Amino acid sequence: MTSMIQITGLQMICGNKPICQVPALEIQPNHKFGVVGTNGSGKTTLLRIIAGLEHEFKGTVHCSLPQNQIGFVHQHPYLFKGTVRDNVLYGIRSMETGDRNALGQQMLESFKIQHLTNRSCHQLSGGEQRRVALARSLVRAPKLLLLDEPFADLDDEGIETTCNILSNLTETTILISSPTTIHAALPIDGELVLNSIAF
Amino acid sequence: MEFIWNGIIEALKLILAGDPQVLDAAWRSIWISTTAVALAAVIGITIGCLLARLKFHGRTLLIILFRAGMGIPTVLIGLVGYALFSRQGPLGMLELLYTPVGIVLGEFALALPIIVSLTHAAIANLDSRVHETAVMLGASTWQRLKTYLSETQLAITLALLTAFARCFTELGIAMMIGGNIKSITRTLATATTLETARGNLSRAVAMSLVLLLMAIVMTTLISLLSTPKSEEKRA
Repeated sequence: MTSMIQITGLQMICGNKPICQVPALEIQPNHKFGVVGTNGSGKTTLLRIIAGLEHEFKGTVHCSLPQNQIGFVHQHPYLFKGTVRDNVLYGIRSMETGDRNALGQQMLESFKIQHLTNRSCHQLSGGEQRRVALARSLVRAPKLLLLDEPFADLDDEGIETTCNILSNLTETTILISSPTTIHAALPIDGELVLNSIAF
Repeated sequence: MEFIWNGIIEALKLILAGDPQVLDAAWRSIWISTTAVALAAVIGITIGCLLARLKFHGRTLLIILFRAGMGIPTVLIGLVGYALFSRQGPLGMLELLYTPVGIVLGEFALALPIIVSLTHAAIANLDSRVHETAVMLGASTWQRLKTYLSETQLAITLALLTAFARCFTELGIAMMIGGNIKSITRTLATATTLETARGNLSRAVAMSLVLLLMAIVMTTLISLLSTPKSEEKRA
């Protein structure tokens, strides 16, 4: 099977300090993959490089998908001004209005946040903001989903709901970064452990 | 002090009675400043966005020039406008000297650097996640631009109000390009100067009071917009 992501000899340096090092990594399509490491081990940087948001690195990173088929949710997601609905529909504006609204509503219900539809994003709690950001990314049905510490700020119910949704995404490759292993919460196909980089 | 109080009382009488000269100058000041700022907004916001988001040769120099332009004296713009629009000037054939359109163009030159610089600063200082999130959600260039403007709506509104306040109260451009012609190019600022020179203090104070009132309205609006409710809630 052709790999969706292939990384060889990746090293990113900021100033004189390495901030991310991955000697080799291959991820197959539709796999769920964990990226585990302590603070400063380079988890976020690795996801950003794969998403195409970082370009100054050594080594080779090959991703078989164009950027518009990749979903990326920041560790601290940014919600645009406006309502929850405005944010969830942001990435699917080219769809017909009826289909767009139906899809948005379906996604809000999946994340159990339909009661927040018309709420201003500035009035949401941290956990609610994260669910909205996940819904906004997933509504585009990306082929590759990069989630930077998606369970931070979520309560137990939020983690369970999110894991159920992610488990059902059989046609999507998912990379999840986390400070601790995510085996217990979500069945995964592999895990990369990044060590804290000493310098 | 007595003559100042008398002037104020006379001025209030003129305003309340709807003195045609005061109203004429006030209305002209408003439409000239509004037109100049509207034109500068269309061009200035576009340039500000491009300077904030595009990397090209000479960009830093342009940013510095526009910032320097924020403090340009209005008499200098008036002088340049006079030189350009006078009969011997390169734009003399347009016959814009001593016309309201000439003042609009002069005030456009005054407002443009303010709007460009403040728009650029607002968009350049946006959280990097705004751009990254928009890109990862497949936003087109046009939609990203709309997103940047939406996220900096408050700062850009303040830029427009600042530019309007500067244009509305300026004297040098209206005097040198407009020539202070009665019922044609006379604005509140030039009328105030003229009435003071004539010794007609009550009318000069009346003009100044209208200017002061507009300045207070602008400052109040800027202050109110600077502390929006959403920001207060988040604080």
